[in-house]
Amino acid sequence: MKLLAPIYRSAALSAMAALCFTTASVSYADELAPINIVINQSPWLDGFAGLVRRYETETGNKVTLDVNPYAGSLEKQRNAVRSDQSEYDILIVNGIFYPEMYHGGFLEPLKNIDPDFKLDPQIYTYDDTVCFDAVNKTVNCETGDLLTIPVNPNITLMFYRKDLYEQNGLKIPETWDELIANAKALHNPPEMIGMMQRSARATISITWDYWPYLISHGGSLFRDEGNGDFFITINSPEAREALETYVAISKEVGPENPASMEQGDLIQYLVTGRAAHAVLPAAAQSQMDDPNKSIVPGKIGYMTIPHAPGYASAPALGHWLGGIPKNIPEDHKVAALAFLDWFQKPETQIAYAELGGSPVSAAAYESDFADKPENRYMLTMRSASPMARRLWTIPEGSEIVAVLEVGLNRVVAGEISVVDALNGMAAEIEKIMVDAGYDVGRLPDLAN
Amino acid sequence: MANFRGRGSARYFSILPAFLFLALLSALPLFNLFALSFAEVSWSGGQSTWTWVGLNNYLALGSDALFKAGILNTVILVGVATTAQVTIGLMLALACSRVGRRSRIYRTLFLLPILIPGIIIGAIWRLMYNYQFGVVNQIIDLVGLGPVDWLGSSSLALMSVIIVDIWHWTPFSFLLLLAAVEALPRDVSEAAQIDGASKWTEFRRISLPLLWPAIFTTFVFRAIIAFKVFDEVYLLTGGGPGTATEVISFTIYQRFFTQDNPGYGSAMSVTVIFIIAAVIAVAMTRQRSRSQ
Repeated sequence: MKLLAPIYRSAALSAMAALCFTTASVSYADELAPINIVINQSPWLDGFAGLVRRYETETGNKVTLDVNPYAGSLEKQRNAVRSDQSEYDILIVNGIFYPEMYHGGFLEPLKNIDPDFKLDPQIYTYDDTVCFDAVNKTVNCETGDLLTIPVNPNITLMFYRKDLYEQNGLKIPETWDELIANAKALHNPPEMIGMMQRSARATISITWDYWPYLISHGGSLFRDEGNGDFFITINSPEAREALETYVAISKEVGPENPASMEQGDLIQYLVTGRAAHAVLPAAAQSQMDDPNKSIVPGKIGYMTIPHAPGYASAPALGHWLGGIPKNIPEDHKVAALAFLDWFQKPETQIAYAELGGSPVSAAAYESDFADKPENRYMLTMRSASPMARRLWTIPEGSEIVAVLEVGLNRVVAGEISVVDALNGMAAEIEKIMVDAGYDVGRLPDLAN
Repeated sequence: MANFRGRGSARYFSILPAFLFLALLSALPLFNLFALSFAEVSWSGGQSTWTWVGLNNYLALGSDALFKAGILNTVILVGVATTAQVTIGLMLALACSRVGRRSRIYRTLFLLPILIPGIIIGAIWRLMYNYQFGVVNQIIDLVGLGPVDWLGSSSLALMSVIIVDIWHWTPFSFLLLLAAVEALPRDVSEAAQIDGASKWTEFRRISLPLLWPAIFTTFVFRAIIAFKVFDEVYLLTGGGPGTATEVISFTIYQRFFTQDNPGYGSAMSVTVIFIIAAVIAVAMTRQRSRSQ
C-alpha cells in the first residue's frame, strides 16, 4: 500500500489539476464566447488578421474570420441581419453600405451591451459615421447612439514616385492643374504612365475616385445632405468641371485603357515601376516597400489629394466600421464588444500599424512609429484624415452608386459625353429618391 | 402488375410524392419570384415589409438603360456564340467520327474546356487577354501588331467575351452532335457513294438533313444556356467598359443583390423567363411543323 501511495498522490494531484483546468476553461468560455467576423478581402486584411491572432493569443478567445470578396461580404451581412439569428457577431461594414445597416435598425447600440462602454478619445469618428441618431435619421455623435467602431480609415491618398520628383525637380502639387503638369512631365507610355486612376465599373470603384474631384471643385451629390436637403446637384457646373478634369487626366496622362483599370491594376503599375502617380487607399502602402512585391521599395511617396483653386482637398472616405448585429445571443454580443474594446486601445492601434494595417486612432499616427521613414504614409494620413469626406448617409446609396458607376465609366469609355452622363445620372438618382419617398428635385439639365 | 396497370388512380397516387417534391423545389420558388415582382421589399427593425406596387416594376423596365443594353448584348452573344459553337461542334464531330480508334484521344481533348470551372476559365482568359503581358498580345506582337486592349475597349470587349464563351461551350455542342453523327445509318451514305455522289453532295443531301433534328436541339439547348451567361462576364469585364458587355443575368444580379432591389430584380427575372419560354415555344412549333 505504501508503495502505491505516491501513485495515488500523483493521480489525485493530476485529477485536481485537470479539474482546475476544466473549471477554468468552463468559466472562461462562459465569459467570452467564440466570435465570427465577416470581412472583405482588402489590402489591409493581413494587418487585421494579424491583430486577430494577437487577440487570440492574449485572451484565449476564439475569433473566426470569414473573408469574402467585396460584394460577397455585403450579401452575407445583409442575409445575416435579416435572418432570425445572425451567424456573424461582428460585421465589418463598408463606408458606402453602413447607412442601410443604421437605418434598418440592424445594429446594437454599443452602450446597450455595456452601459459603461466608451469610444477611446483618440479614435477618429470619421465625420461622425460611427453614430446614428435614429430619431432624426442622421449620423451625429452628439445626438445619436454609438453603433460602430472604425476598423480601417481607407482614405484615398495620392501615391507618387518621389525619386522621380527629386530627379526632375518637381514640387508636390496643390491643385489638379499642377498635378496634370507634373504627370505630363513624367508621362512616357508604355514605360511610364503619368497618372493612374481606377475607372472600371464595379460595386464601387470609379465613384470613389471621382468623389475627391467632385467635392474639391465645389460640387456635391445633394444640395445639403447633412441638413436633410436631398435636392440633386450632381449635374451642376462644378460637377461638370470636376468630371472634365477627371476625364482629361485619364486621356492625357493615363493608360491606353483607363476604363478597365481596377485597384489591383493600379497597384500592379506602381510596384512594377510603370506609374508616376496613382490614387489608392492608404492601406495599399503595405505593398509598396515590400521587396517581394515591389521593384520600387522606398521610392513611393504619399501626398494629399489635389484640389481646384479656392477649395480644400477632399480625400474620399471609404472606411470600414465594425458593428454588432442585434440578432445574436447576449453572450456573443459581450464577446464581440470585448474584441472591439481591445481593438480600439492605443497600444492595439500601434500594433495594428506595425502589422501593416491602417490604424483608426490618433495614438498610432502621433506615435514614434509614424515618424520612421518606412511609415511615411502615416504623416500624410495625419494631415489627410481631418479633410476626408464621407459619401452619403442614406440607405438608397446602394442604388445611387450603381447609377454613378455605370454613368462615370461610360464617360471614360467614350460611350457618352460628360454632359449627357451628368444629366442622365441626375435623372436616375432623382427617380430613386422619389421612389423611396423623398420630396426632391434636381438642377435643370446642363447644356452641351 | 396487371392489376396495377388497370387501376389508373393508383398510378396517379403513386407519382404524387414525386410531383409534390418537384413542385416544392421548382414551382414554389418561381411562384415566390412572380409574387415578389409585384412588390417592393424593405427591411426595418429586423422585419421585412412587402409593399404592393402593381405593375410598376414591369413598367420601369422600359426606361432602364442597363436592362436594354443587357438584352441587346445577350441576344448578340447568344446568336453569335451559339451559331459558332454548333458549327464548330459539328465540324469536330464529323472529323472525330472518321478517325477510328484514335478518336478517344481527340474526344478527351475537345471536352477539356467544359470540365474547367468558370472561375478558373475567367482567371485564365483574363491573364491571356491582359493588355501588358497577356499571351494573346505577345503573339500578335510577334507579327508586328501593337497590343490590343481586348477587355478594356468598348468595341472589342463583347467579342472577347464571346470568344471565351465559344471556347468554353463548343464541347457541349460537340458531345451532342457526335452522338448524332455516330448514329447516322451507314448504308444510306454508302449507297449514295456507290451512286457516284461526292463527299460534299453526300453530306449536304443525306447527312445534314438526317442530322438536322440533332443540330436544332443542340442549338436550342445551347442558346438557353448561353442566355444565362454570367460567370464569364462577371470575371472578365464586370459588364464594362461602359455597358459594352452588360448581359441580362449580370443586370439582374446587380439590381437584385448589389442594389438590394428584389422586387424590381424579380420583375426582370420573370420577364427574361418569359422571353426564353417564348423563344423555345416558337422554335419548337416551327420545328414540329417542319418535321410534319
